[in-house]
Amino acid sequence: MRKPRRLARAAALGAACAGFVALASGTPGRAAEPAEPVAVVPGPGGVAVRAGALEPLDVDAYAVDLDAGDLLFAALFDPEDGAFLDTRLGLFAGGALLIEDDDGGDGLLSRLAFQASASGTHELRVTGFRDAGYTGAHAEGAGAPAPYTLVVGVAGALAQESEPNDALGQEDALPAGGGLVRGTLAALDVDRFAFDLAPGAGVAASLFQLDAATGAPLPGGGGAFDDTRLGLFFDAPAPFAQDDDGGPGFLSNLMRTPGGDPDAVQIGVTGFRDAAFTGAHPEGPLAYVLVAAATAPAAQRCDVVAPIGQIDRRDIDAIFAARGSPASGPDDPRDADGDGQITVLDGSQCRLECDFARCATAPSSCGLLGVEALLALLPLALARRARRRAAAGPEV
Amino acid sequence: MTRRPLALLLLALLFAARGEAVSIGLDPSPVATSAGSTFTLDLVVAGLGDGAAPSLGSYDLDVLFDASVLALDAVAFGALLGGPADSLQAAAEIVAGTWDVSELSLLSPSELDALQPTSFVLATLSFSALAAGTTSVTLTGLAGDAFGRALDLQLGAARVEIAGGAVVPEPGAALLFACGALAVARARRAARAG
Repeated sequence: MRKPRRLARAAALGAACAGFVALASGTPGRAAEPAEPVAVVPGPGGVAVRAGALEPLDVDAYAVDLDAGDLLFAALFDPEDGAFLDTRLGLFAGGALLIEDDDGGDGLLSRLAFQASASGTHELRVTGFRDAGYTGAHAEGAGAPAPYTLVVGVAGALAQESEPNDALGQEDALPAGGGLVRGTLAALDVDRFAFDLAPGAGVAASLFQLDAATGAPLPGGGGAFDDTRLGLFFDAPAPFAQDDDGGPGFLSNLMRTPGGDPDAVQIGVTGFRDAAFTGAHPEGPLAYVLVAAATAPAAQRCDVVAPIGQIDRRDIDAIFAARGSPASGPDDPRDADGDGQITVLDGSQCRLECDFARCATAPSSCGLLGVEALLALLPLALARRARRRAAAGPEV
Repeated sequence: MTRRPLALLLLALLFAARGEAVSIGLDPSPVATSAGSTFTLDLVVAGLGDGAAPSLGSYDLDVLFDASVLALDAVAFGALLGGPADSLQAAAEIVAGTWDVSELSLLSPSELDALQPTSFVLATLSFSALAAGTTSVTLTGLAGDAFGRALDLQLGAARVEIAGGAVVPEPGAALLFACGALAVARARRAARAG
């Protein structure tokens, strides 16, 4: 399906021009970001999640260490499924661009897969789709910084699915927090996986196609002929969310937060015709990698101390007191900007998430004060009226 | 004290002309004082919008100085990040010669934009001069705008020159006094003789 981007591009061009004119005329520049590249260290399951935001003239850089032969999968997600944020994602080594993608992900978002030929630190750079030189020449996030979630998966040797895993209850277990697994989708086949989820966390899942013979990622991401469907389940036969053609081509991607705070979710992979996830499809055989990761919603990131579910001055106090210390991990709720350090900036960002004005612990109690003030004025009004009547003389 | 508004004005003009980085500096500089005396340095931010973005939402600074010649006695925060009711404030000694001075506003971005001028005093640092010498008070750290985004920050320093006692040497003052008394006496004698 052709993606409707002409209007967005026209708007982006206008905003970019405005940005450059402002810059040239000496308007104060945009705010600087934490030191980059931000280190990306995959957890036990091989995945890492980083939250970021794009704004005009901004390029975000993430460093990831790869060994020769490692497979790297990177996918961008955002709350609007890429309907508005149009990204470009590039992988660099030694300053040279190795591979890049524009619209391979959900909507206008990007994703890429790569097999390292040499060991070393590689750098993922996120920018706007117009910024082919990765210099920041784009206008994404012109109205307000556009948030995104970057999911990175790294594996030397991929774990394999274990059949039968077609039905609910037969899922292959992934590590808590997510992981990478290689599967093969055949006609009449459904592959199911499950992993534990922390309360309030979301799920990002992405399918990448592999060359069945070599196991290497397909150039361009695949999805040219094979058409998948991806579903997220929470102990029910029907998925609470699903995606057909999130991309590239006919492959699937999605990021969702389940309601009800489940302690585990299940992921189903099937053919695009099989909306009921019963195996009624002719796709395959298709070799793929599923990259699944737990994501922390923005509100949870700042919700540090009790009462959980409300962000107030107690949370900001706790973040402020912890400034200068390293984050406990990618899901540390105090690390709002995801840079691995607790700083005063995390507290400042979190104060914007407070439930009440000025991070009060309860709504301001204006109560009857307004009415009381009016009542206090009533005798004055009556006295003034009486004076006016007296001055006007007796009524005839 | 009359130099302080002038310095603030110069800082504001400098950054209005440059139109880029926000700065946090120390004012006045240099400071000339004597051992045993106290003096204050203002922590001054400049380069913000005047009643408009960018405004300052938070900062976390280390104040560094030579603890053998200076002691930081107290920190008094300003009110333009919300004051004690609407901001979190911290000032404490980390190690000898290093103090952490930090503030995080709880006001909304629009409130901060409306409240803050281009340049203002974040806090006043009260020092004691312990011994003679010349030293610097320097700053390290970070600051964020009203949305918690790191600002491109330039940090300043102050030079402190501490004399080893009273500024005017006592013998010189006594000699001047004696000369004056002698001149008066001679003038009176001449007047009587006349």
